[in-house]
Amino acid sequence: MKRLALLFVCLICISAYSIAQNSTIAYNLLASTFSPINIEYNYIASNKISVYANVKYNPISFNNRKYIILSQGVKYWLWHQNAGFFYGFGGNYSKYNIELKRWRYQGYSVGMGCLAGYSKIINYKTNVEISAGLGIYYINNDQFLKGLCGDFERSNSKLCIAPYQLSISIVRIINIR
Amino acid sequence: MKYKSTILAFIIIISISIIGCDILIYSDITKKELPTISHLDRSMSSYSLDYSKNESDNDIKSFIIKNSKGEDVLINRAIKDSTTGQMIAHRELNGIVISAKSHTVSEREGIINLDFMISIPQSLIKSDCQTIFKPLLVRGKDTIRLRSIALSGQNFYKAQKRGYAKYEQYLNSIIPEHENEIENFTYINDLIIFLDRYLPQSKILEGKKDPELKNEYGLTEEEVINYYKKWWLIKRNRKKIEQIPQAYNKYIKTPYIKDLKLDSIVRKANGSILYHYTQQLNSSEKTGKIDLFLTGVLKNSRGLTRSIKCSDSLTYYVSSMINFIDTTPVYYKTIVPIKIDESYTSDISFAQNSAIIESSDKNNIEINNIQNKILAISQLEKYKIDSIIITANTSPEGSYKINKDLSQNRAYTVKTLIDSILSNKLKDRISNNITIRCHSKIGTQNDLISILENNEDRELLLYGEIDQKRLIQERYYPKMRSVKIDFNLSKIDNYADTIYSNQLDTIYIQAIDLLKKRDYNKALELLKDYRDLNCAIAYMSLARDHSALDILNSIKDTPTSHYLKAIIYARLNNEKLAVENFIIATDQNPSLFYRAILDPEISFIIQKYNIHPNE
Repeated sequence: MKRLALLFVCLICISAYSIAQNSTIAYNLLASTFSPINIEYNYIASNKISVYANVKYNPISFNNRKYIILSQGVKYWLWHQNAGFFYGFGGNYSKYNIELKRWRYQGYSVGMGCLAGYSKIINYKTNVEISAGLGIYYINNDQFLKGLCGDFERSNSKLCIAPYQLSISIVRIINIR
Repeated sequence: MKYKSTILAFIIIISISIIGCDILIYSDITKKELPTISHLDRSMSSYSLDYSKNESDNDIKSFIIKNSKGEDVLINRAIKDSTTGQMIAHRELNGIVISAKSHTVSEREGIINLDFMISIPQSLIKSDCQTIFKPLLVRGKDTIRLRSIALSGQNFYKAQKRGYAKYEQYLNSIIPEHENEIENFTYINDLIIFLDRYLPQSKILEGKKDPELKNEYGLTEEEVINYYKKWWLIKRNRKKIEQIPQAYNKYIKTPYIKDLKLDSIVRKANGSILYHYTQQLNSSEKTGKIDLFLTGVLKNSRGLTRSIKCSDSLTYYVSSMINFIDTTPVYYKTIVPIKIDESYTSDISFAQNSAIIESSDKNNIEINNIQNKILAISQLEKYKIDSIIITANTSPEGSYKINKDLSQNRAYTVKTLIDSILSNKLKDRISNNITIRCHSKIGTQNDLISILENNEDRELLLYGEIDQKRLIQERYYPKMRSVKIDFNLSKIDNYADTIYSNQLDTIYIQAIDLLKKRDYNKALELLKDYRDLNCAIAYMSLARDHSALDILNSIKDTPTSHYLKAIIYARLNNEKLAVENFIIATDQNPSLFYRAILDPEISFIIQKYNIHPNE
């Protein structure tokens, strides 16, 4: 799993420098409390549509929450890409091993949702973006007691509604003269 | 609702304080003081409003004059007592207000000088308000509005200034729409960055528009600017522009009034305020009586007005010289002059180079003509012949000396002829004092030309193929050999007679009409030649006093002429002669004393020297 994430990130960076005309990379500040790697890559297809891919990766060395979330989606910009309001939708896949309260959950989830946000131009190359969204997830995990090698409790599998994306991020436009 | 009563009281107090300020405009009604207008007492100053006149040689206290009977009369200057009344120190006049309601003004040079005193009581002057007084003159059917007087309080003035300042602020807050559109009406910082990032080739921020510039996504400049415009600001600006007149009415409740006679701010009034109003009016045909009314308005700083009632009106009676017009009818006259000249040219033909009158039919006819002419002249009743001058002309042939002698001789022959006629025919009519003189005149080219100009052969001479010289010699030289006889006549009794016809002189009637209508200049043009009393009146009405004086001194002395001379001398500051003439006039016509009260020049003298009718 680690290698997969790293590969994803490297692909993003390489592709950013090589082929993309106008693409952006964003770093989510809100989620940085939970994970060190929060990168979103945004490829601008036209005046009003852009495609994004998001990676949030938290290796266990930070705290007891280890997860990786990958999401991809489309954003529709109302006025102009990277310059105003937008809305979008996307899909989500995550694999996690989290300790919450008394239990430890380990499993995966798949979901999709929609989001909306606003992006403000600050500089020739930077933006600040705020977005929020809601989504439906299918969660499938095993529940264990807290602690190292806790006892297996049960398996969960359910649908739930949860926030899709909450972010305040700094966007950097790349490949622009 | 514990605080219900306090809230209610609060509301009542606030509403009263807002409305109550407007009620204060009526606060002076209980005092029942009204502004008044009144005439001035002129006893202490000169009769005219021209205070710059110096009374140089009239500081004499008394002098002696001769009245119409030839007796010497002593005149003393009177001393005035101090009068009672509203004694208020005024800078120019010791203005004492008297309660007379009517006053006579005189009309001079077609202008009437009106003046009156307005007194405004203290209770009408409030610091929040402005009082405006508008005098109104009624003359016949015309009403004339004079310029108003405005007195404002300090708070009123401050509120006015504040209103204007607010209006100016409002105007300054309006952004001019068509200049610097991008700077004033867009989010310029965002626009700059956006253009820098996505349309870097655009130069619209420097003012150069490029409508065809598109980037890779098809974005045009116009779209960008329209997105970044502050539409709310544009809308607000336009609304402000539309509402400028409403804003004017809202902020400026009492605009400044132009063309006021007096516009001043009263800081503190201790007692009533007096204003001496002067006005010049052009006199017209119908000017006999002028009524003066005063209307007033009290205005709040918020624009509320209330009218002020003023005291009674004043009347002015206008007097002018026209009452003295002499309306005796004047007829056409012709003047028979003292000296007359007559002349006669005869074509007596002399033989060439001789001075003898040939006896031909033509010459006989000519001699008869001369006789008839002399007879006709001598039969003029009033004239006698003083002298006869005979001039004989010659034609230009020959030398100068010969021609000169010849013409002289020819004149002598004509002279002998006339002598014979005079002695033979008219012995009883002619005195012996006729002198006959002979002149010679040699014809020159100018004479020829003058003869030719009056002849039809002129064209023939110019363009025909006739021998010019022969034609001239045959036809025109004889005409140049004419004899001219001039008679100088003079009247027997050496006086120029004036003969009056039966017809009324329409020009004179026209002139009198113009004078009555106060069109003095035109009347004077027509009356100038007549040089009588009416002409003097016209001169006086135009203030040409010396010309009038000349005429008055040359015509017959009547009470009217003495009275008019008194007025002129008073105007010229020669009070001795004025008084003298006035006393002579009143001795002969006592009713002129009552007319004198209407003329300010004389009435001033009457008061100064305390002249009474039976003195």
